[in-house]
Amino acid sequence: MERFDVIVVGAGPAGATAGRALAQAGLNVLVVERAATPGAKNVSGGLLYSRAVAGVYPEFWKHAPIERAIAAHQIVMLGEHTSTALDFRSAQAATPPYNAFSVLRAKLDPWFATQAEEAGASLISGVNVDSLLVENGRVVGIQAGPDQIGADVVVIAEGTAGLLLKQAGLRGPHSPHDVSLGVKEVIALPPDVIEERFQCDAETGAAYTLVGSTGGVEGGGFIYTNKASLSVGVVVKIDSLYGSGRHPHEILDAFKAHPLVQRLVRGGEVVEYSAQTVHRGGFHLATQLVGDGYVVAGSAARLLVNNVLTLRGMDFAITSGVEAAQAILQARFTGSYTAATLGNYVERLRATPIYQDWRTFKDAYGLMENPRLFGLYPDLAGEVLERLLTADTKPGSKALGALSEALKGKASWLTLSQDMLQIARGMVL
Amino acid sequence: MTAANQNQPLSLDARLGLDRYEIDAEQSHIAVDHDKCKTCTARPCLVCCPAIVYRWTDERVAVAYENCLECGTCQIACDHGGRGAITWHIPAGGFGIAFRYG
Repeated sequence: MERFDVIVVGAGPAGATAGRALAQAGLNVLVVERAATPGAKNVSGGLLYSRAVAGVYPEFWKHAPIERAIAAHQIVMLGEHTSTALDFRSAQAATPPYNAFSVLRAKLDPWFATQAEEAGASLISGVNVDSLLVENGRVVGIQAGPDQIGADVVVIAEGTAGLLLKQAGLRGPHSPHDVSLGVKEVIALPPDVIEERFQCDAETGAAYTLVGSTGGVEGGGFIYTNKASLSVGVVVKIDSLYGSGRHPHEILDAFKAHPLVQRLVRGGEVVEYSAQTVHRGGFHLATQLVGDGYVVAGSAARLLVNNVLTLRGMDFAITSGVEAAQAILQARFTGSYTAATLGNYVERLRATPIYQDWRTFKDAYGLMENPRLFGLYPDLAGEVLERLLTADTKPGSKALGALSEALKGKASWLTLSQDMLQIARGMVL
Repeated sequence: MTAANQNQPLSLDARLGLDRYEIDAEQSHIAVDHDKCKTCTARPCLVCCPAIVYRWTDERVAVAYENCLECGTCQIACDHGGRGAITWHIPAGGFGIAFRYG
């Protein structure tokens, strides 16, 4: 049986980064990717947040095929015929080390894979890992078609949809309550149209996070500017989706038909339609991160955050790839790769900003379960402003009066104040 | 201006037609236990799939696996909202959807 020191399953950001770090340390590493080209199975519904990534790939924006530096972020509540937005722009986010970049995974991921190869890792693409080889409860390698390949340790970075962990009984099934479906279109537009429409320059761009756009289905929408296209999509909880009886593409169409979104995508040509599942993530929902002979990294481990306002995975994936590699190198000193010796991976993750961010936003998860956030309040925000800003023939009222009118028959003041407190706890305080 | 340039939404078929697939003509990566589907009233697979791979035709689920976008939603929806009739596998290496943008 062919053998490597380490086999990495998946050449996304987590797997490629782990493979690179281990190869740099002199280990004999094989990275196995199921797509014919890395990235061809991957879809981003988020942004590549820069800081943690730059710590691993210094000044990556000079080399990696990123799209635009996100210097404008709009948080928008969509009512039926209204939109109420918070428009944040930062000149600082437009200069190094930046905050975040829009990316297209079919272009980006090959770059990460190349970094692993240049460090000395072997990459095979277009090969499916059919199962993990397990002996006496210990992962000892992989089965890929007719080939069995052995390794001291296997890094499982198979993404959210991967099945190896599930098949081996190392994770339970995903719950439709914790997993959302993202559907997305890439819509081609000339760069000068994008720059004028989104008020940015040749290098910078905008990100829109929108709630209230999904017909009451729990979730949200996004619009990101790429160099010569927009990424436009909705992310909806799977249980809420099948409860709604609406097809995902219909929810996307309704989102695109909102007057605000329609203006932003106008004249563009759809060039790709894609879908991907995203786990809500969090340390308390993470898979078991280590076991005898294996570690789990990236979104396969549910190391990401999806709390409507923030969709973060790629930077967490890269951080977890680094920490997984460091944990393996540390275990190597002991000469064994058991759950105990690899356990320092968990300790390492706890010391990273990822863990801190999960703790910080742990109260935001409850928001995902509050249906009023996705229907009533975005409408209410628009209605209150409409009452305040419209010169009517009837006498007007101050904000509280307008809110009181708008609330009538929809929610009580008590419900409203409880929800506001929940939103404040999740996002603000 | 092509149809895609208009503000009218593209049909799902037109959208899927934009995507690149390496179709595995030999085998489907999706298995369905049709007996279980007969007792299923919710049939969330018919709703949830972003490519409408699953259609109720002639008293059974017809599976257009070649359109699969490989998100895995059907497995989750069927396991929890249906009868656990669907077994979604990863397509054979190199086959299936091949995103050009992602």
